[in-house]
Amino acid sequence: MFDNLIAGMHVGRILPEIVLVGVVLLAILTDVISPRGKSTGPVRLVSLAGLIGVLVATILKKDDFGQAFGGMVMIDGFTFFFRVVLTFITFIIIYVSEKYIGLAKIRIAEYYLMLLLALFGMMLMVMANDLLILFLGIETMSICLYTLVGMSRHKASSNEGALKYFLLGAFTTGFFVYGIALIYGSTGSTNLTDIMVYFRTVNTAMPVIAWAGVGLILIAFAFKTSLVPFHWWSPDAYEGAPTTITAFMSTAPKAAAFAAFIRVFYVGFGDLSSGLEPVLWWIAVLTMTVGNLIALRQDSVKRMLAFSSITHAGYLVVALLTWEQMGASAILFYLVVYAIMNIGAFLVAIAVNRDESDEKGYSYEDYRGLGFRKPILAFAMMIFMLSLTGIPPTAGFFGKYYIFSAAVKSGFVGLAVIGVLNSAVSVYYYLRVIIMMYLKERDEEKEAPIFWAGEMVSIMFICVVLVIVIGIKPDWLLSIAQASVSGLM
Amino acid sequence: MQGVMFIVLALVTLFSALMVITRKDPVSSILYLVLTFFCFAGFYVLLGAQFLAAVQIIVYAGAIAVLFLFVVMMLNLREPEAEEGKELIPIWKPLGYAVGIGVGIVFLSYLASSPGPAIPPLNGGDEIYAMGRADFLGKALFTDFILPFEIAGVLLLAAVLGAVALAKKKRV
Amino acid sequence: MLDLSIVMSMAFLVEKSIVTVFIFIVVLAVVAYATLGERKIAGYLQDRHGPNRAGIGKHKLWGILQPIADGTKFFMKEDIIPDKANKILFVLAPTFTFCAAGFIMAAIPFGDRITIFGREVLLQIADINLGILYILAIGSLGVYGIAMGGWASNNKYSLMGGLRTVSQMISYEIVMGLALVALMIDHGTPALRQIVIQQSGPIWHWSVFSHPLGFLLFYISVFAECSRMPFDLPEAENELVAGYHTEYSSMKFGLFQFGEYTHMTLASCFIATLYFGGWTIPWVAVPENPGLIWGIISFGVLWIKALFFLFVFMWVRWTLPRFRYDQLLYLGWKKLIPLAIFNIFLTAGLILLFQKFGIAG
Repeated sequence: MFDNLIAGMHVGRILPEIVLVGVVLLAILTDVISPRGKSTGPVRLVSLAGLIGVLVATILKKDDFGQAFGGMVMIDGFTFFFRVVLTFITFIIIYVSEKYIGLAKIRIAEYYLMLLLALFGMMLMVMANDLLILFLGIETMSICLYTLVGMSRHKASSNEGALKYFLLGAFTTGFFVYGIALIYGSTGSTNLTDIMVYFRTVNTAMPVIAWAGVGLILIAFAFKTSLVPFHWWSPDAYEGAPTTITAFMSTAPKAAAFAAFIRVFYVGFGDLSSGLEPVLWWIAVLTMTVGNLIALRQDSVKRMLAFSSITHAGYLVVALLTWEQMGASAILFYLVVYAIMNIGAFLVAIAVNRDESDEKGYSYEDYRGLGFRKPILAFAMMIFMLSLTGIPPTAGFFGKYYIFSAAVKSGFVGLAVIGVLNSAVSVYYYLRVIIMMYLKERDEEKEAPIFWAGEMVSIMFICVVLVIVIGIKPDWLLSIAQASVSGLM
Repeated sequence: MQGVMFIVLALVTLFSALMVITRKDPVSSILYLVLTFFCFAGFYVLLGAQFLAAVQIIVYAGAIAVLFLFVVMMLNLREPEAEEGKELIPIWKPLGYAVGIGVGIVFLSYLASSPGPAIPPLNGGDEIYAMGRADFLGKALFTDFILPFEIAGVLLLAAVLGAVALAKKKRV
Repeated sequence: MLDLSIVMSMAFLVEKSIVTVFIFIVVLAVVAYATLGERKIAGYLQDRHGPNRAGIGKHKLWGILQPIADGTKFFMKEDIIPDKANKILFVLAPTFTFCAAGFIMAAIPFGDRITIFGREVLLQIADINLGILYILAIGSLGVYGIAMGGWASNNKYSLMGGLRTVSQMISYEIVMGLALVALMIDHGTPALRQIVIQQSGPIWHWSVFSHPLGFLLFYISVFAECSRMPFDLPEAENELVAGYHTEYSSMKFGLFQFGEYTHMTLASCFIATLYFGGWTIPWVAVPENPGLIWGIISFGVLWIKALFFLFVFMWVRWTLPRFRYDQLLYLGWKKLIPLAIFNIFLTAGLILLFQKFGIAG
């Protein structure tokens, strides 16, 4: 009986996650047996090797698609795509961190453990086909992120950010669970496929309570992807977090949250699209605009990037609104491109920053005359800023291009226009960095030494190359993205 | 009989939940919270889930709320002084009331015109009774819900590690 | 018109009420004399007499009326409520402590069925399906009384006592629960009556022989849960004046004391039930149709076992020194909890092994 039961679960399909948990346990053991205070190096190596193992497991299982555990999780091209992307991002962050966590005075092995566990949560989110699993995935990820944000305990901003993030996040969890309860109460299931079937059959006579459930879940997602008006936590959390973590948070968890967003709203609530459209329309407009307007006024590059991250989430919602394969693939494309350029930009910010403990760090002033002082670094930053703005021939251009063309094709011309206008506004604060670097005189007395680490340089280099390569030849990435979402609809 | 008990429990629950959020003194708040947990356990018993009721009391009333109490007592929080100054944004309070009332109206309207839940009703008392038993729950957890169950383990591991990372003595 | 089922249920209610009152009186009597017993035993262990004056008239009778004298004294004393205390909680706390201890008695099987007036009556207030869990749940609430009292007194010694209670109880509850998990795995049920019946037969059917480690863990944690020596840190008199009940006087203090002894007495019954065969007698089979005599015997057997453990409580109190606070927590978290988890795996593994080789465990 048990053999049948286990065979029906298709345990093998979640091999990468199983490997990941094994890696976490191994890393904890490494931490324990390493000499006191010197465990981060070995733990990091174990984590990196383990992540390669996860990647190998993912690729080994690349043809074994289908549901597992009675439909609780769905392993398809979409899952595969995000598994690879998320593992890569985590790998990069762990790879570049070792020297930085010494600088930020958070040299404890838990830093890596939390990243690995956050990855576990995110991998659950991207494969969850059941609200229960999704909830557990989001919680696992969030708990790790709360900790990571608050890790620099000696910094007031870190404590503040972590506390805000934690309190609001816990509150959102309440929304999410309540939403699940209402959905379950009205549909009789937490499984996305069952929910879709239910919504399809009762399409006209949707009970109010189901709408309330959908709305609450939407709020939870809006919080996790920091959409206006649920974005309040993100600038503070992004600013307070160690900068590597900020880079991580603005890319991987955002990607995972959008993946879950897509799956829940395209698969589970796909038939409610007409009802959700006006809500999402306004959210998209507000998110793009508010994020932009506040980013204009920032004096800290880190905070500017945090607010601009809100704006970028707004662009993604525009694509989400299309409710079509094209929009979904545009989101996937954009998430990858955004991850590359954002990680690159944050790495430059780490290198240029004058003082990690100083609350006034990450100022625009640090970039004064960087183009003459460190031309290569400045060039890299310029590429990232241009790409974030969306200027050809960088990858960011095609990211926005696909999103807005998907929007136009689905009839959201007004939204596309607002999006393009917002991109134009964002030119101001992105170019401000470039102007600082190339058009302002050096002020040698105030210059701080550049923080170098070999790993950071190599990743920066790869990011620059990728931004340009994708900017010149985007088709391959787009076709991968399209193939990944094809199984979804 | 069950209906009467439900109404009494519901009223006590609502009252104690309200007291939790309106008391200024944190210790009273927590004690009302414990009462609320108790009432939840009562609901579980009414629904035939005795095991959940016991676990609810052991875990929530007996452990979690006790830890809250511990922290409040250790920080020796007394009633806060009356706060000076005005609220930061005066619109939040009326907005909160409006949203609360709105949600209430939504649910009342649902109750008034509900098409009935889609959950299939159980076949009489025996099945309900069986579902509340520990062995039934154990079987469900280790067959249909094995994945969430195991993930919950990892989630707790993450929480423990996070708590340790934030709380342990700084080693420089 | 009288419905037959209502008559039945009325009879059932009356029957249950009588059983409840009977058990309540017996337990209270035992508790009252436990206070005397404690002082007598303390006297014996310290080579002195202990209380021996309160007798009937000229006959001292080893101070047989001492509990009544104590009770009267408690009622006569001035009842002081500190000015700065939280009045409601201050009054509520001792009551709560006593009630939480007393509620435990509802689930304990004090004896087998007895046949009286043609009706079969169970000597147990409620044969709860989840007996062990019920007792754990109620037991875990006992902490509120002490914590409330300690906090409401508005006295730093009381507060320290309350804080210690909370951390101590939480820590040792885990040990207790984990020890009982192993027991429940073996018996396959949390229903106490079933557990007792499964232990009838030869003496090695007692759970203490199949769960020696579990018994040890459980027993240690019971000491901590009742905050008895060597774990009586909540009231450690040479550090905290009198701990959580520093500010209490008169009958409120009396209720705290009474609650503690009730807790101890019922815990002794619980230990006897879980690990020492409850009301069964070794090698004596449980009769199919129990009569009045058997019922009374079973009731007595349980109490004999329980009184022995009550004696051990007192014996230990006057023998062992007190733990230090950090030692207590260290012992709980770093020694007992891992051992308890090991015990669960050991039990489960052995049961699997026995099943595999077809040996009835």
